[in-house]
Amino acid sequence: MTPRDRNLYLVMFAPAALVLLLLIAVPIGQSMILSFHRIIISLPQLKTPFVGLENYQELLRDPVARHSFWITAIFVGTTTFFELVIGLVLALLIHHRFPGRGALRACVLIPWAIPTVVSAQMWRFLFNDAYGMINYAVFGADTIHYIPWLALPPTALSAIIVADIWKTSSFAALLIIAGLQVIPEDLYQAARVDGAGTWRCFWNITWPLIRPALLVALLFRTIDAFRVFDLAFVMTQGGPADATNVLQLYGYKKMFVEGWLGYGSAISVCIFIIVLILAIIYVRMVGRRLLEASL
Amino acid sequence: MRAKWLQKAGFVMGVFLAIAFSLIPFLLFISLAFKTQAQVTSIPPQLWPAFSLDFFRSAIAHYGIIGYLVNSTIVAGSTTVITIALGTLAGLHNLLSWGFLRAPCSRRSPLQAPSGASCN
Repeated sequence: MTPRDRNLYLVMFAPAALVLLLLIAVPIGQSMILSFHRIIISLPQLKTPFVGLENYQELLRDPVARHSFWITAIFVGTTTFFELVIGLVLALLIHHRFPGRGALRACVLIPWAIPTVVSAQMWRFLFNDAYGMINYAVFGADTIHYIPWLALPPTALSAIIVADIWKTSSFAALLIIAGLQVIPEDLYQAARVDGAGTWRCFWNITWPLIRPALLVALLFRTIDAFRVFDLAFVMTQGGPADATNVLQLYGYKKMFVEGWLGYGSAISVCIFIIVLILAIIYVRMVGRRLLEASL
Repeated sequence: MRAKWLQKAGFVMGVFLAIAFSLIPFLLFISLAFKTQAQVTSIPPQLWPAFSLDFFRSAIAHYGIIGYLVNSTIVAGSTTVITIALGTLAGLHNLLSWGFLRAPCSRRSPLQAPSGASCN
């Protein structure tokens, strides 16, 4: 590489690197530094002593944090499973050539296009115990039997899960369609010549060849579901009785509601580490496969 | 013959279910915007809106929604321009590291260029 090329190289790379540094590395570094201190905003007289890993040790002992972790894990497991199944069905439907396919694609993408906060408000209203359309759809005018979906612990978490599945299944479908489109049509034609029906074609051709795309969708959705915040914040604020108190929301409450900046930062750093591990797994497992596929 | 007919019927039902799944909650929510205040808070809920524009008038006149739209346009436009500019520079930097910004090499496939290689 000539010196001129090297300078051009740096000039092109520098702006993106600077943005990454300022907007990603600095906040993460700041969070990590805060997580090693005891900082209680409402008690400034206690100052901000360095406490090492004490916040992390407290996090491991904290029953609310453990509960939040399990709520988040249930949310991640359930939403990811249903989103992949519904996404696969939507992708298979959209992949077919038929009149009106474009209109179906547009309809299917509408939930994904709506901002999450708006979607959360929408589902909050639909699940409302008095005015909600879901009670009206299930019980009609029999208002005595209307269920306060967002006020009961089991139904509140289910409501958030339904909202997330509705919102994100189309994104999973988009990722899976990319995998469907690279499957050669010749394989299906050859299978039909040999007498294979629709189910045999799906099980023996589509399913094995679509697994990389499913893996990409699985990892993307797992990472996104782990970071859920706005749905729980808008729909239930973490209640009732911490039934929807996901980890990200718990960290927010500790930091901004109770003013425990150090402890809240420790929660954020833990979430960052978990998401980073998942992202590394994604890059390792999928990146190599995508590069081989492109060659 | 029967199997084909069942397959087609299943496909059509699948399409309708996909549309219903995607659109019904959205349309129910959109219908709120065209209801009157009394309809929104009625118990039991009313399905069909009165197609009133009261909430739209209120949003423009009392809540200054035009200002929020302008702000959103500025934010969306700026972030799009900045991220595309930065992304293009970073992408060109990648091409440079593969040697594509030197003299053109017609025989080499773009996907086969090793890092730092050159045709010269």
